[in-house]
Amino acid sequence: MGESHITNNMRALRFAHGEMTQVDLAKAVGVTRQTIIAIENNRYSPSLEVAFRIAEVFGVPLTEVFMHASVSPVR
Amino acid sequence: MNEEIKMKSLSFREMSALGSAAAVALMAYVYFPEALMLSTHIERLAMPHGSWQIMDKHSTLFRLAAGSISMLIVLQIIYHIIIGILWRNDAMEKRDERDRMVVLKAGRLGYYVLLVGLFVLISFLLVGNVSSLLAAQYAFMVVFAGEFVRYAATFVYYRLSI
Repeated sequence: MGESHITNNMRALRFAHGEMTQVDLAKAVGVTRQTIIAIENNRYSPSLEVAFRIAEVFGVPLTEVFMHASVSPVR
Repeated sequence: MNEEIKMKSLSFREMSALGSAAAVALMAYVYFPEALMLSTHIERLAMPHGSWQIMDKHSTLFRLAAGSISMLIVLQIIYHIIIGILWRNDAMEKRDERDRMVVLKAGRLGYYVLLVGLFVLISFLLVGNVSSLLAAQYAFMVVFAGEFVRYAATFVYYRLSI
């Protein structure tokens, strides 16, 4: 099984939504600002519940916020 | 750019873990050299004519332990008040799923250290000639090592953003 990597468009979506701050997004989603920063920097993959809540805040499908990039295994 | 700078700076929970690890290390540094010396001394005095001296040393050891633990509690309270004021917004935030995961993972590491330390201690007690007083100090040491690893791991996991 290859490694998986989840990337996201959160920063772009925040700016598209009236330059929403990380604090505002964190409050809307119900997580800490540090978690939003970690997710935006691809350093933390959120749970499905949090991922769906983020998509709900932006009013877009989940796949427009998060992308899954498979990396083929190195032999 | 501004967000990158913020990401590099430490958060309240990182500061809390770092300070707690430092406080535990400081207390261990202050307490254990003296406590181990006193415990060894009490062992040597464990003879009929040395009973009054043993009482005195026991009292010193008790005062040392109580003083060190009080120092740790006071240090932690003062430190957390200071970082709570400096990182007011961070400190007010409730723990979320990432915080809980960090706490669980760090707790697991601390537990492993505690478990290994206790098994080593039990092995020494079973095969070696360790007095109850020294055994108590070693047990105390194992607890402190476990706590130190737990706080240090919390800090590292936050920095790695697991």
